[in-house]
Amino acid sequence: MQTAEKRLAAKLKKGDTAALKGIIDRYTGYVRTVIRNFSRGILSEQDVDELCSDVFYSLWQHRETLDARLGFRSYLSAIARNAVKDRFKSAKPPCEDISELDIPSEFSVEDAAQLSETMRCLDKGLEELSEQEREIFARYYFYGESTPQIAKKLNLAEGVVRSKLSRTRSKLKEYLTERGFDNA
Amino acid sequence: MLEDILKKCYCEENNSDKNSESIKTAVLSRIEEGKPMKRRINKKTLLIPAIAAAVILATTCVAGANGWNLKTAISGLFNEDKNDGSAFFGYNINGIGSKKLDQTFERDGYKINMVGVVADKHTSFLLYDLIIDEDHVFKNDVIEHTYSTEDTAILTVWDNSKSYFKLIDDHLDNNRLPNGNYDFEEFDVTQLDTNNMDIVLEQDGNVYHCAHRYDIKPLSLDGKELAFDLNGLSISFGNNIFVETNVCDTVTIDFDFINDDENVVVEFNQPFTFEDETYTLNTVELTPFSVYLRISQSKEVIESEDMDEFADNSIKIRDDVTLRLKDGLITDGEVLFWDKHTGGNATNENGAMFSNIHLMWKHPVNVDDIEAITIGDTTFTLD
Repeated sequence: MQTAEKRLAAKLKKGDTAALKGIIDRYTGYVRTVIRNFSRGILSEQDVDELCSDVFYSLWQHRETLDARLGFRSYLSAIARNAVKDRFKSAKPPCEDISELDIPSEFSVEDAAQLSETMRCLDKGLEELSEQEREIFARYYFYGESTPQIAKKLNLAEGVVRSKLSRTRSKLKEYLTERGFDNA
Repeated sequence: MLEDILKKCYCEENNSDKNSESIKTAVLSRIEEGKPMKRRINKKTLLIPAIAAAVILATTCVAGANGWNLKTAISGLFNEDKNDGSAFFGYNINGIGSKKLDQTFERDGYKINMVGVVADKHTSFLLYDLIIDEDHVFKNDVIEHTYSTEDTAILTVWDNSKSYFKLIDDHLDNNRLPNGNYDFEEFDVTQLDTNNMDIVLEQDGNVYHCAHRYDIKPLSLDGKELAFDLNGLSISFGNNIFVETNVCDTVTIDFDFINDDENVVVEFNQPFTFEDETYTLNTVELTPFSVYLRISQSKEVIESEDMDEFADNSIKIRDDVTLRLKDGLITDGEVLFWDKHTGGNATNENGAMFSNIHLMWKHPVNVDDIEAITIGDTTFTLD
C-alpha cells in the first residue's frame, strides 16, 4: 500500500470521515467499474451508484478490521462482489458466471475480521501461483471480468482461461484449507 | 500483490466516471443516521437480571438528574460559574484542569470566539463558539440551518485544510515548527496526534457552542504551549452549512493548567488469559476522561506473524475492557469519538510485544469511584 493510502487507512480506522471522503474520491471510479463488471452491465446507473454507496458504507462499518497492508482495492472488490451477489439473490443472476463465484461467496463481509484474515492469507497464497494464474484469478474474482473478456485481454482461448481458473481455484482452496479456512 | 494486479486492471481502462459527490453525500448521510447511542451499559451475563435492571435504572436516574454525559459536562464550561477547577463538571473530579480563553476572530459572515480548554494529560478539548451572522451567505447556497445535536462529530475540520497544531517543545529550542501541512507521520514526530473531531455541544440561536478535541500522547506539557492555527480552517455542518477561513490566526495555549497529580496509576504486572493466550496487565492509568492500559504479551516474539496476532488481539482486548464503579455501574470503553486505539505496538526489553491501549470514557468519572477494571473474564480490583 502506498504511503498516502496507509495514511488514509490509519485515519479511517480512527473514524475520520474526512479520510473516508478521500477514499471515496479516489476509488469511486474503481468500485463502479467492479460493480458493472460483476453485474455484467445489466444494472442501471442508479443501481450501480446505490451499490457503490453500500460498498463504502460497509468499508466504514468494518474499518477497524481493515488491514492496511493489503490495500483498498481488494477489500472494495470483495465487498462490491458480495453486494452484487446480494442484489441478485432473489432474482435471476445476470449470467452464469455470477453463480460460479464459489470462492468469493465465502468471503463474508458479515464477519469483517474473518475477511481480513482470509484476504491476508489469500494474498500470500497468490505468491505460489504463476503470474498469469494470478492475473486471471484477480481479474475474474476481484475485478469481475468474464472469462471471454479475460481471454481477449490476455490473448488466450477461453477454454484455457476456464481451465486455469479451475486449477487456480483448487490450489488456493487447498492453500486456505491447510491454514484453517475450512470454508474455502 | 492482489492490490497491484487490480490497480493494473483498472489503470488500463479509460474510466471517466469518477464523480464521487453523490456517493459521498449518500454514505455520509447514512453514517449520520447511524450514530451510536449516547451511553451503552454493558450488561454482563454475570449480573443477575435484578442487578442489571437496577444498573439501568440508576443510570437513567443519574443521567436524568445531572445530565451525566460528556457533552453536557463540557457544556458546563460555557456557564462561567462552573469553571472552578476540581468541581469543574459539578463533580469532585481530580486530575483534570481547565482554562478560560478570551480570543475572538472576526470573519466575513461569522466569528469564532475561543472560550476555553479542558484537558487531562492525554486528551484535550478546545472549546469555541461559532457565531454566524444572520445574513451570512453559505458557500453551498443552503440558507436553512439544519444540524444535529447528537454527540458524535457533525462539525468537521476538513482533512485538506491548512489547520494544524504546533507544539513548542524544549527540544526544538522553543522555536515553533515551520508552517505547513503536517501529515499523520509528522504529527507523530512532534509527539502530538490529532483526530480532527469537532462536536456541536449546544446551539443558541445563531451561536454554536463547539468543542474541538485532540489527543496528546503521553508527554509532559507542563509549561509548554500548543498553538492552534486557524488558517484555512474549513467547517461544515453535515452537508448543509459550509464556512471557511482564509486568514491566519493562531490560538496559543499555555499548558500550565493540567493537574494530573491525583490521577490513579496502578502497577499490576499480573497475568490474564484472553482467547487462550496469556498476557500481562502491567499498568493502569485512570483519569476522569480516559484509561490507559499497558498490556504485554507473555511470550517472546518469534516471527512477524506473532506481531500480527498481537496487534489483532490488542484490538479485541481493547474492545473488551469494562469499568465497574463502586455504585455497581458497569460501563465499557466505548469512546465518544471512535478514537479507541492501540497507541502503538512494540517489543519491550524482553522481546515481548506490548501495547498501550487508550480508551476514553463516554462521560467523565470520578476516579475515586472506580472499583475495578475487567478485561475479558479477568477482573482487576483497584484498592
